Amino acid sequence: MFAVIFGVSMRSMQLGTYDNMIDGAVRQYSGFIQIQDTSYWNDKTIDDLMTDSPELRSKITEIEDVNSVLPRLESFALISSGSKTKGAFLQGIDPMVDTQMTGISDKVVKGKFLEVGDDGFIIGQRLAAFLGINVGDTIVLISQGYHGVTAANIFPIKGIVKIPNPALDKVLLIGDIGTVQEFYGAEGMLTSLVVNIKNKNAIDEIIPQINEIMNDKSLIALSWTDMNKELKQQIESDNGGGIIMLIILYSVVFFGILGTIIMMTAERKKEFAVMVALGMQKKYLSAIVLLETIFLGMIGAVVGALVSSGIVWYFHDSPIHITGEMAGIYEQFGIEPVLMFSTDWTIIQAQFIVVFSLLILAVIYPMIKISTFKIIESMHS
Amino acid sequence: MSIITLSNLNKIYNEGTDIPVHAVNNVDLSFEAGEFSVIKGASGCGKTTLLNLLGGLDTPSSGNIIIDGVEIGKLSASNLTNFRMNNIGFVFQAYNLIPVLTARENVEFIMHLQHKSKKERKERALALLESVGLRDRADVRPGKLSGGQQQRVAVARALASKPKFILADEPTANLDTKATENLLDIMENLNKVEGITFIFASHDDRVIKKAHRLIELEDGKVIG
Ligand SMILES: Nc1ncnc2c1ncn2[C@@H]1O[C@H](COP(=O)(O)OP(=O)(O)OP(=O)(O)O)[C@@H](O)[C@H]1O
Ligand SMILES: [Mg+2]
Repeated sequence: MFAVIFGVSMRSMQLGTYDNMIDGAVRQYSGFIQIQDTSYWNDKTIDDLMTDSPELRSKITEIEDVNSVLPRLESFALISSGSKTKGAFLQGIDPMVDTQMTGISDKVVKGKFLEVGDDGFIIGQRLAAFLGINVGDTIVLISQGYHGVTAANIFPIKGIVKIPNPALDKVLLIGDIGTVQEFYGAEGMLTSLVVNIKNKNAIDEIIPQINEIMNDKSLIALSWTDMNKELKQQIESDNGGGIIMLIILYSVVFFGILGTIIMMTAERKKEFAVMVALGMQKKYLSAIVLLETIFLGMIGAVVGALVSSGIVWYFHDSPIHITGEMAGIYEQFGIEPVLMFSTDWTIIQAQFIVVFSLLILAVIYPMIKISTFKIIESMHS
Repeated sequence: MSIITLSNLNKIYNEGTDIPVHAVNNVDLSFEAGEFSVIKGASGCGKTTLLNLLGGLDTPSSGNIIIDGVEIGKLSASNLTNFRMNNIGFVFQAYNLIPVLTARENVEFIMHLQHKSKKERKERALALLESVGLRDRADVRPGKLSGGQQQRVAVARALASKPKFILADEPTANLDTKATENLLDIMENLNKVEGITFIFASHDDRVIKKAHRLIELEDGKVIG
């Protein structure tokens, strides 16, 4: 029972935290799949843009498991207001479709979200605080535009958003794609198309389909793992550690179960011997003990699963916020400093199955004992 | 015809080691239906060993045990278990009731194994508890019964399968005088009225006094 509780909570926390990492870094920013110009992927300069093609977008949208395709034009700019200046990450989006994926319009804490064709910007809360600006103020943006043009203009601030990822919150500036294209002198051009998918497990099937549709060597479809190698590695090594922890936990659990069963068998040895002396067949006795143990194990595992789902749901709704030094480390990785719990039902299922299998393994012991014991000796124990 | 015939029976513990124990030594014995016999002898003379062999709980080193025409040494483990269930009733020194079952359920236990109907089980169990004077304690678990009461439940349990005979190894060893008298009266009565065959192993004078036949053992040998 406790085995299931520990197993589920631990695993759920791990996977939940990964999901949160992936979510924070991927869903809210890069998307799970992006299409970029091949040279942009390599050099990341504003001169290597791709041409927006509504036709390509609609074709990709038709692929199964694809929700929508979002145009993006992203680059850097200097933002200044009053006497303060800072580097900002300028993101041009389609306000309509983008928010369906990122839910960013829900994160507006002040003012309004962008409308299509909006001439203003939405700013990250931390960035706004640094610059000391508010909704309705104007900012100056300066940057290098497409093919060497100088880009400079004045824009109003329409709203302030609280981005969960702290690193991003300090630099993010979001504008309508048209406004941003115009600013950079890159009308009809994009840095990337973000492919919003329904199921992140379908990535490997979707990417080849996209490549086939594009049929263009200058464009490349990238998965989030291509774009976030470090995050992926971190999760994998952490996951490895988690699995080792689980193996240790399961060994402890297994010997715990086995110990309990050995004790129970020893305690009831005499009772078993009497039953067989009175005429109960050993195989019948074995079957009863097996059913009994499985039944008890079931109850334990079910109670364990219930309690742990309780725990998991509780922490899913009110995640543990990490504070202090650890929080700093998380933020460096651009991850919200929160221990999230995954509510993925398969975790509980998996733990349940593992613990149950351990139980079945342990129950072999009394089976062997029953089939080999001698009545007289056992009766005198 | 006798219901039990032992011929040339031997049991040697630790055979083939430096200190073999010849616990049952060349025993030839037979028991008739309706007997009330006591096997007596000093501690360590082999009473328990002999009774265990008789009950098919242990296997002899050599010799034959024929019960009701069946040579039990030739039965498979599973058939021997069934044979015990249908033919032999056991009363142990330590009562050995199943602690989680009530008195009635303990008595019903063997009838369960025999697939008797619920009605028959219940009626017979209550009748047997009645005959040992414990009808009113039928739904009590062994833990709440005195030693004497537990042993009487054990007698009722031993009778449940309508066995050919009942083996009782030191059934009174843990009982005080009053409980012993009471238990012996009940068993004597069952023998007299119902013709139940009893074979005891005991060095308790109160038991020996009641015996219709005394068999004396010494160092595994029958000496009288
Ligand atoms: N499992 C065993 N292994 C070795 N020797 C045994 C074993 N059981 C009994 N013995 C020996 O066999 C002999 C007969 O023992 P048994 O228990 O049959 O005597 P008993 O007459 O029932 O004694 P008590 O009156 O003390 O119950 C004893 O010497 C005993 O030490
Ligand atoms: Mg003895």
